[in-house]
Formats: sequence, structure tokens, C-alpha cells
Amino acid sequence: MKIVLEILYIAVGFFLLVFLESIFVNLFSFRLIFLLFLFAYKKIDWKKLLVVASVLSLVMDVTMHYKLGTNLLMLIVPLGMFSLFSTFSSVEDGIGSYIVRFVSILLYHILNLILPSLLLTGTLGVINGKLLIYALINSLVSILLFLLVNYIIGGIRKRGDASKIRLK
Amino acid sequence: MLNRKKATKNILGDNALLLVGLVVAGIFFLLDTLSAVKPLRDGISFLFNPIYVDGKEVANEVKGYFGTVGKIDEFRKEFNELKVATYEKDINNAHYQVLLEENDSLRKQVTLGNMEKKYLLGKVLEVENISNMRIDKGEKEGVKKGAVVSVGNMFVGLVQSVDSEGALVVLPYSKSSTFKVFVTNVGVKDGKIVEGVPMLSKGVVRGGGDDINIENISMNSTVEEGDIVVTMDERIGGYFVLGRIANLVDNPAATSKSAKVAPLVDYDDLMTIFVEIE
Repeated sequence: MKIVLEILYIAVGFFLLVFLESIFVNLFSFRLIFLLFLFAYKKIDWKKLLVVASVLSLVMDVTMHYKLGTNLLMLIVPLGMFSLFSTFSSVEDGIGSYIVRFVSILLYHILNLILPSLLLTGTLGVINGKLLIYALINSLVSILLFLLVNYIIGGIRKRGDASKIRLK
Repeated sequence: MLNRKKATKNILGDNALLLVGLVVAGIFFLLDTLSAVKPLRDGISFLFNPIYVDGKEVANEVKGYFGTVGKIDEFRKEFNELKVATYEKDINNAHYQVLLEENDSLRKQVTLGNMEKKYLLGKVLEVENISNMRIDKGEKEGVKKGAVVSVGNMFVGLVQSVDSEGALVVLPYSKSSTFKVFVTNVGVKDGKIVEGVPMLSKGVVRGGGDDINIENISMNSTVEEGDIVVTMDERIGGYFVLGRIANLVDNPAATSKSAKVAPLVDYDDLMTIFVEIE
């Protein structure tokens, strides 16, 4: 019963995510998926994350008429870079972690400009100064959102801890 | 020791996500080159495309709304420009209407039976309680007190007072307006008096303030409603059509008949008039 409910939640979550992604992409040219994966990375079991990422990227590839695997590749490459940075410095907390995340998000947005066209037609997509500035702004907004979500979750955790009895 | 083992496992796990993810992406990419995945594409498309399109429509609506709000200043400017353009068109239209009315009046005046007299074209400035009319022609243009004001063969009034720039015309509705008339049933066509006018009866027209009364119609006459009332007063000096007989009162006990006169022209709507100057 629990598994059925979990599958149901995930299915509804997929639909909701696709709907929100569609709104954000068409309204602000802003991708929400990578932000979610960056947030979930190292926080939930990698196998579950991989399954969700694979299915969701398949859905996004089909709805956006990309080659299958494009969205997954766009998720994996910046995550790989993020992981690479994490071997050199701490990416758990501090301003450095946000810089690393910002660079990853920026890479994701740049890949978003290049990769679909490259895999589909074999040519690099349209990339110019204006689009790069948009990517930069999107990345900045994303990192601010990330910061906000972390702050809210941090606050909730603290409130949860307050009810616990601490033994020193 | 245990913690280090756990951490190593964790790092491997995270890296495994990247490696396996790359492999899966590669497999997806390779599969897409085969037509075998078409049913999969169709299935996903069937399930998720409506959601994606709905999201897109919502985004477009929101974008359209904010786009409109963002361009409100532009729209306001455009609205003001359109308003000015509409006013200009209204002005042009009003000017055209004035020209049309003037043209119509001139045509009526041209078809006058008596062409010996000279007339001056004037504009109506104001009509006060349908009793008096102010016109824009005065002494300077040769308008004199007592001059007849008409439109074609239709009587409008007599000039009551004149100053250098304008004049006051007393309309038949005025209580101070009294003149002799006769009633006829034929001989008037389109407000123009033609040959062979039979005089059914003579009478006197008096302004009643808000109506025009005709009195002293002979009891023996065959005057009917709709007959034409024509002026025949020495102050007017010619035959002008005043209006039609209406509300005829035929009281056998009275010595004469009386009626109301419905003017052929609506004095309130007059814009162009002609003042007799010679």
C-alpha cells in the first residue's frame, strides 16, 4: 500500500513538475529541474535520484522535442563539475559553496543553449552576448532561490530541534 | 574507521550517479536513433504534452498580462493620440455638417420665386425659448430693424433690434409676434409658392410663447388641418410660408375658427438664415 501511494505521489509530482517547468521556461526562460536536482544531490539516495532524473529527462526530452538523453546529459555534466569542485573544497556551507553552485547553474544554462541543437542537428545553438547575459541573470536568480530555500529549510529544522530535549 | 568507510561509500555513490547517469543518457541517445523508441515517445507525448501545453498557455497568459501592464504608458499615449484623432474627425464632421446645412439653405434660397430682393446669408448664434433668435449679421452688413428673415420661402421672423455685430430676430412663437396671413390648400410645393394660390381664408397669427395660434379664420371657409399658412402682412412685404394648420377648432357657437400652426422649419435646428437687406 505504501509503495502504491509512493508511486502515486511520484506520478503526481512528475505532472506537477512538468507543468511548473513549462510555466517557468515559457515565462522566464528559467529551468527549474536542475535547481531541484542540485538541491537533492547528495541529500537523497543516488539510485532514486537517478531513476527520477532519467524519467523526468525522458519526459522533458519528448515534450521539448529534443533527442532522448539531452536533458539527462544537461543535468549530469554540471553536476559532475559540481562534484569535481566538491573534492577540492567544502560545498556544504559558506559562500564558496554558493559560488560553486552558481558556476554549475551557469554551465547548465549555457549547455541549455548549446546541447539540444548540437545533439539534434549537429550544430551549436544560437549563442550571443544577450543570451549569455540572460543565462547569467537566470543563474543569479536561481542561486538566490537556492539560498532562500536553504534558509527556509534551515529555519524549519531549527524549529524542529527546539522541541527536542538536549543532553549536554 | 566506520565513519571513513561510510564516507568513502557515499562519495562512490555520488560519483556512481554521474557515471551511471552518463551511461543512461548515452543509451537514451543511441535508442533514439532507432525507430524502436517511437512508441515510447508517443506514450510520453500522449501523457505529458497536454500538461506541458497547458503550462505554456498559462505562462503566455501571465506574460500577456504583465506585458500589457508594462506597456500601460505606451497604451495611454496611444489612447490620447486616438482621442485627439477622434476629436479632429468630429470637428471635420461637424464642419462638413455645417457646410451641408448651408448648402441646403442656399439651394432653398436659390429656388425663391421672388429673386428681385437681396438677401444676406447669416448664421444663427442662439435661439432663446423658441421666441427670439440671435444672428451674426448686424448694422455693419446692412441689416435693418424690421427686416424679414427667411430660409427660401419659409418665414423665420422679423428683425427686432440691430447692433453693429448682430441682430435679434423675433420668431412667430414670440408673444409679441402678430401678423396677417391667409390659408391655402394648393399652390405650395416644397415650401415654394407656385402660381394659382386659392385663398381659403384670411387670418391673424399670434405667438403663444410655446405655440403659434391662428385666429379669425372664416367660419364659412373650408380650411382643414394640413392646409398651408402663408404670410400677407405689409411689414413682411411678401408671401412666405409659415407652416401648416394643426388642431383646428371648429366651434359652431363661435364667430370664427381657430387653430395652431405647425412651422415648416424647426427653429431650434436652424443654422443658416437669410436676411432681406433691400
